[in-house]
Amino acid sequence: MTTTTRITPAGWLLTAAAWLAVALMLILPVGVLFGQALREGLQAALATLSDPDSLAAIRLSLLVTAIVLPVNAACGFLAAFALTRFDFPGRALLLVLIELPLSVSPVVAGLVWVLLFGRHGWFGPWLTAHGIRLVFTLPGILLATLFVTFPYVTRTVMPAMEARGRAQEEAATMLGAGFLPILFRVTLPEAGAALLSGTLLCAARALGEFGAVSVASGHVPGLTETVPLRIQALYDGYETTAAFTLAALLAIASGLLVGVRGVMEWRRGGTGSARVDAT
Amino acid sequence: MTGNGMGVALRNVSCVFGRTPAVRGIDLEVARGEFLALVGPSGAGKTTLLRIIAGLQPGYEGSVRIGVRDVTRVPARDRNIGFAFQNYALFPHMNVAANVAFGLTVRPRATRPGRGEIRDRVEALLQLVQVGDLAGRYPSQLSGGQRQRVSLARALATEPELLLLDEPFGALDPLVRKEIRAWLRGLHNRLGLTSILVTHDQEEALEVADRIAVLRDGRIEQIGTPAMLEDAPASPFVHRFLGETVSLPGCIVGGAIRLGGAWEGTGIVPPRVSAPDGPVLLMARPHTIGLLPASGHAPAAEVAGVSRRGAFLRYRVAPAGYPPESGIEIHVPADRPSIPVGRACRLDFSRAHMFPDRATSSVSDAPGLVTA
Repeated sequence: MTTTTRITPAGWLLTAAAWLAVALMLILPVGVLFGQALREGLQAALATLSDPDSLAAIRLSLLVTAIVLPVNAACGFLAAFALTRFDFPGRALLLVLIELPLSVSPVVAGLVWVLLFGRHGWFGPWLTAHGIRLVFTLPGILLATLFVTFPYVTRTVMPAMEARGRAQEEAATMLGAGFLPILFRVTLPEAGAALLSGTLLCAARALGEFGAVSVASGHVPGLTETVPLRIQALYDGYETTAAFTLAALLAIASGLLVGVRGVMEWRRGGTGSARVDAT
Repeated sequence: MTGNGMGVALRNVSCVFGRTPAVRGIDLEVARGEFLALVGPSGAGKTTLLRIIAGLQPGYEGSVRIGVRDVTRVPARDRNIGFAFQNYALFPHMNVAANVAFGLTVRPRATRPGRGEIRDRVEALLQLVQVGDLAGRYPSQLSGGQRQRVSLARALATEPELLLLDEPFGALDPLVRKEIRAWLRGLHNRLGLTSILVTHDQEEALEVADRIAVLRDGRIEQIGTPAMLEDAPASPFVHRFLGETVSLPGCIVGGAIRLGGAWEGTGIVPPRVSAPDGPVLLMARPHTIGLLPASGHAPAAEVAGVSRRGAFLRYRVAPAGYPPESGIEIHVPADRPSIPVGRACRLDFSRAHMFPDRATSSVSDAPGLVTA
C-alpha cells in the first residue's frame, strides 16, 4: 500500500464533491428503491414477483439479452477488427454511423423501426403480404435492442486493438499463419478482455433498455413486455411494491454486470486476457 | 542448398506512399550467409525496404528474389522469412513456449510436426537463445533482453533461410544491447543465416554487419564493408551519418586546397586525396585530425580550450583571433603530451576526405546539406 502522490486540500475538496455527487445521484436513489421495495417486508416483495405477467417480462428480458449478446459480440468484434486492421473507403463514415445509436434518442430509434416495418410503414405492406410481423413482436424488440446496444462492443474493443497495433498479427503472418488462425489465435484472445468488458456493458444496456423497446414492442402484457416496460405498467397501476421490487431486481442485475466488469478491468492492469499454455 | 550465391536480390524496387516515394528504384544483392545492415536517418526508407522484402508492404514495384525463388508475388506467410520486430511483438496471452511453437502449430496438419517433436524443437530453440528456463513464463514477466531472445527463437522456429531484423535493439538499455548484438552476430554465423538488419544506429551497423547500405531519401547512397565506408565515404551525407564529423569549407585552386570563411589562409597539412578545382567540403573525424606545432608565416590555428573525456583529450581549436565557438573539435589520445591553451598550431588534415561542395557550386542538384 504505497501512495506516491500526496493529496492536497484542493484534492480533498474535489474528492469530497465527487463522493457527494455519487451519494446524491446514485446511492440515495438506489437506497430509496430498495426501501420502497421492502416497505411491506421481503415476503410481500417476493410475492409480487410470482405475478405471471412479471415472470413473463423477466423471461422475455433474459431471452432478448441472450440473443442480443452473442450477435452484438460477434458483429461488434468484427466491426472493430475491420475498422482497426484495414483502411477502406468510407471508414470514417462507418465510425460515425456505429456511434449513431449513442447519440440518437432510443425513442426515435424505436419510431424509425415502426415507420420502416410497421403495418403502415415503408416495408409494412410487403411484410404483411408475406405474413411477417416485426413491430410489436419479439423480432421487433430484438431489432430495437440490437440497434441501441450495438456501439458498446465496438467502442470498447477498438481502443484495445488500436493500442496493440498490427505488429502481433504481422508476426503471426511471418510465421506462416493465415487469416483465420490469426483471427482466432491472436486477435481474438488478445481482444478477449476488452470484448468481455464491452459485452457486459452491452448486457446491462440490453436488460435496461426502455425507450426503443417501448415504441417497438406495443406493451402487450405477458407477450411483448420486457422488465422495464413491466415496471412502468405496474407503477402506472399503483402497484408500488411490485414495481419497486422488479426495479430493485433489475438494479441488482445491472449492478452485478457492472461490478464484474469493474473487477475485471481492475485485474486486467497486468497481463491481460485469457492465457494459453504451451502445447 | 542451391549454389552458394544469392541470398536476396532486389531489382528496381520502388514504393510510393500517397505521393511521396518511400523507396525509389533500389537494386540490392545480399549474398547467402551475409549480414547486411540498412542504415539511414528516419524516413530514409529502410524499414519500408525491409517490409517489402518480408512481403508486409503492399503496393511496391520491382522484383524480389530470395534464394532461387522469385517471391515478388508470394504472400508474406509463404515466404518463410524470420522477422524480428522492433517491439518484439510477442503474443502476450501465450507463454514463451507457446510463442516459440506458434509457427509450427499453425502449419496445416500434413506438414505439422508431432506434439513431441514440437516440444523438443521449442526446448532446443530456447536453449539456443539461452532462455531455456523461461518456457513457462509470459512475455510480461520477461526483461527486454529476454523478450528479444524469445522473439528470435520464435522467428527461427520455422527454419527460415532469411532473417530480417527491424531495429531489434532499439528498446534495450546500452549494456544489454552491446551484449545481445555480439551474441546475435555469433548466432548468425553458427546457423549460416542470411540476415538483414535495419538500424538508425551507425555504430551498431559498423560493429555487427559484413556490409552496410546507407539509405537516403529512398535511395542507396553507398553500400560497402564498414572499412570501405570509413575509408572512402561517397558523399558528405555518408561521412556525417557514420560518425562525428568536422566539416570545413574550402576551395581547390590549381590542385591546392585553400580554406574559406574564418579559416581563410590558415595553413594546414593538406589531405592526401585530391579533388578537381572548385569549392569543396573538407571532412574529417575529430580523432583523425592532427595537431602540429605552428610553422611559417601563415595564420595559425589556436588552441582555445581542452577537456579530458575518457582516453581522449578534446581540444577546441579556432582560427587565430576568433572565439572558441567558431572552432572545431579535435580528439587526441590522452597519453600524448598535452598542448597548452593559447598555443598556435597547424592542423594536419592528411587523413581527411574532400567532396565537391555542390551547395555553393550549383543550386540545381544541391540536396541540401545535413548538418551533423
